[in-house]
Amino acid sequence: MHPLNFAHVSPDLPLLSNLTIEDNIALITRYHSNVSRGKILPVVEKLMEDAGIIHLKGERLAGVNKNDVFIAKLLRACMIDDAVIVIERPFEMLSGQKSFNIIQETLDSIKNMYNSCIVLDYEWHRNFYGKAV
Amino acid sequence: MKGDIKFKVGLFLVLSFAMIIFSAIFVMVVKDVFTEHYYYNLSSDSGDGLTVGMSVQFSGFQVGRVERIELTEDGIVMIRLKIPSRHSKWFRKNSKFTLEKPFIGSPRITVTTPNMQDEPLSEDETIEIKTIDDINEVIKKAQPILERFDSVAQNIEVMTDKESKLNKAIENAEKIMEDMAKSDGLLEMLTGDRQSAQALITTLRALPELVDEAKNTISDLKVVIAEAKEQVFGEEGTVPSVNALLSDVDLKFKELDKLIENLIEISDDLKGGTKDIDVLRKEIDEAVSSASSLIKDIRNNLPFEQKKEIKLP
Amino acid sequence: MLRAKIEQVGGWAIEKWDFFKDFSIFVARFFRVLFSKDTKKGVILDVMVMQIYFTAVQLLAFFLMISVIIGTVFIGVVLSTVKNLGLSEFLGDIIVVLVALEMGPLITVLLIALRSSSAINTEIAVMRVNGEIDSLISYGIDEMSYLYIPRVISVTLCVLVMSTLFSIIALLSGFIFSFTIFDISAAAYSELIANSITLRDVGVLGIKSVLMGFFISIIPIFYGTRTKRQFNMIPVSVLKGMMSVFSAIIIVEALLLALKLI
Repeated sequence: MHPLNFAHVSPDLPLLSNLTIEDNIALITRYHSNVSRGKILPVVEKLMEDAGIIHLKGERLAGVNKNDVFIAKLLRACMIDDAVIVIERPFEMLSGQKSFNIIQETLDSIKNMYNSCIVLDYEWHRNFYGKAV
Repeated sequence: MKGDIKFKVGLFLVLSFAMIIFSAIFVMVVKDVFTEHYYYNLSSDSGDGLTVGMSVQFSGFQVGRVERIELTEDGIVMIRLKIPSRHSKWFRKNSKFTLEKPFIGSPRITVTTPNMQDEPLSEDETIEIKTIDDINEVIKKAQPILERFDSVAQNIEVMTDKESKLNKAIENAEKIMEDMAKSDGLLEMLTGDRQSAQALITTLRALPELVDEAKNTISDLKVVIAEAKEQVFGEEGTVPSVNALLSDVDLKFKELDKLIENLIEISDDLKGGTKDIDVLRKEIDEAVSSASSLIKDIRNNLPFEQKKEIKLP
Repeated sequence: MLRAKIEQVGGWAIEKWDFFKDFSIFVARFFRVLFSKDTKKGVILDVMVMQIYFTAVQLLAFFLMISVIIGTVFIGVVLSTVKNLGLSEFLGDIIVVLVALEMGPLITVLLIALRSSSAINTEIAVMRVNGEIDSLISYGIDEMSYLYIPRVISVTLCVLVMSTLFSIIALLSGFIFSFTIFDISAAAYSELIANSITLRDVGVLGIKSVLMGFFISIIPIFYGTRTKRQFNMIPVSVLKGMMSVFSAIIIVEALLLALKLI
């Protein structure tokens, strides 16, 4: 297993504030696969469309709400081939959300882009997950 | 990344590099990098003042540069000039080359060509270069001036020495000024003695009185003489003693005239600030005493009352 | 008391030595990554384009205006002084040395340092405090090759290009004064300047620009990476970084001058 297949989504790992949302998502593939921006951008845009954040195209971190940032982080993690996504403390990244539904919906929308997903959270957040746990 | 950012950056880089390359080519063209060059050889006994890249000038215009300087095995300095082809026409067989070392400015090689119709200078020829050293010329010219400056400096040193005459004169002047400040007057300062000055002043004050007295005496004397003439040169005959006395009086008159003249001179001298006050004072004393004795003599020798007594029958 | 003072001096020396050592390691790593085959050129180029845009293109109009004004005024002052002193013979050399070799790189570097070095220092410090650098590292992106190398190369390139542009524009605008004061024709002026420029001058200008460009970019980056993870430490980092940038400019200037004199 390639160590990069592990894709971490965490409150401690923010998006880069000097890049647009789509550039943030595209960065990992561009860097590791040396792909040009022009080539990767359609893939990223399709992904954003599927996840319902295409309206964030061209936006930077400052103009985006917390929930959208979480989805963007999730999409960034998906850019790793055959990724094993590890979501750490998701409710710290979501504002006012007390349900796992939004996470589940996003993961469902990009289910072809990752291998598996692990969520790490506090015990006292167990009830936020409902039937999923 | 927006496309126009890429375009702007690309345009900036392309234009900047184009400008830099254009400037570099321009400089190279002006520096005759792309021009055909002629190379002329000069020789000199010394490489002093010669540098690679130094200017070669014709009629004050730069026509080339020194490309290389070499010291040959036999100790001669070989200079290779690099001249662009457009300036090679100034280099003729009769051309003379001089290394000028101006007092201000960098050294240069100057070319002079008396006859422009002469054959062009061959690149194989080696011409000896002359040197005009302005700095050394100036030093040579300046040498005697510097020597004179040296002696002037020495003189000033002697003059300003503690024991020098100038210093002493200044000290004396200071002393005189001090004396003037302290003493009552110029005379005291000149005589250096307060009493002498007082005496001189008293004498000078008495002078007009003495002169008046002398004048009065003389006028009296004239009257007496007139009377005596009447009496002595009368038909009654001449008394030998009176004659002698009269001649004596005549003599005294002359002396008295001199005395008066002297007195007037002395007073003038004193007014003009005669230096030798002591001598003057002596003269005045002598004059005054002789005047007094003269008057005494006259008075002693002229018993007017007796004359009346001598009245001849 | 004396022991305490000596300890203080020792502590200061150790701190400075550690800093110098860390900086040397950082620079060594910079070159190792720069010449590494693994360095991804594609992303670097994009970052470089952005950095050149911020450093040079956005500054260009102001920079050109400054170079025309300073070039004209400065050459005017030099020309009139040279004329008064009777040193017209050295006119070309004085202008080339002062404008092209000294003022060009110095003013360019000061302008870029004022604008870009402080921005780079702040940007890296913010990224460090915010955990963005950790994000990059956790996704296997080498911060040296992605963040630092493109910035240093861009700023160095900008200083080199812009100081050359400054020299060219200043020398061109100097013609106005040479024409009015000395009544020198365009041909004579260009010959005067061109004859005074040597390959060595161009070399010195290049080396100076590259050295200064390198230091005014790598120093603020280094200070940015050392920022403690508190937001209130960002201005402290920028302050220290900029002081070191100016010290570096003076040191490079002095070293090159010393080399010239040797």
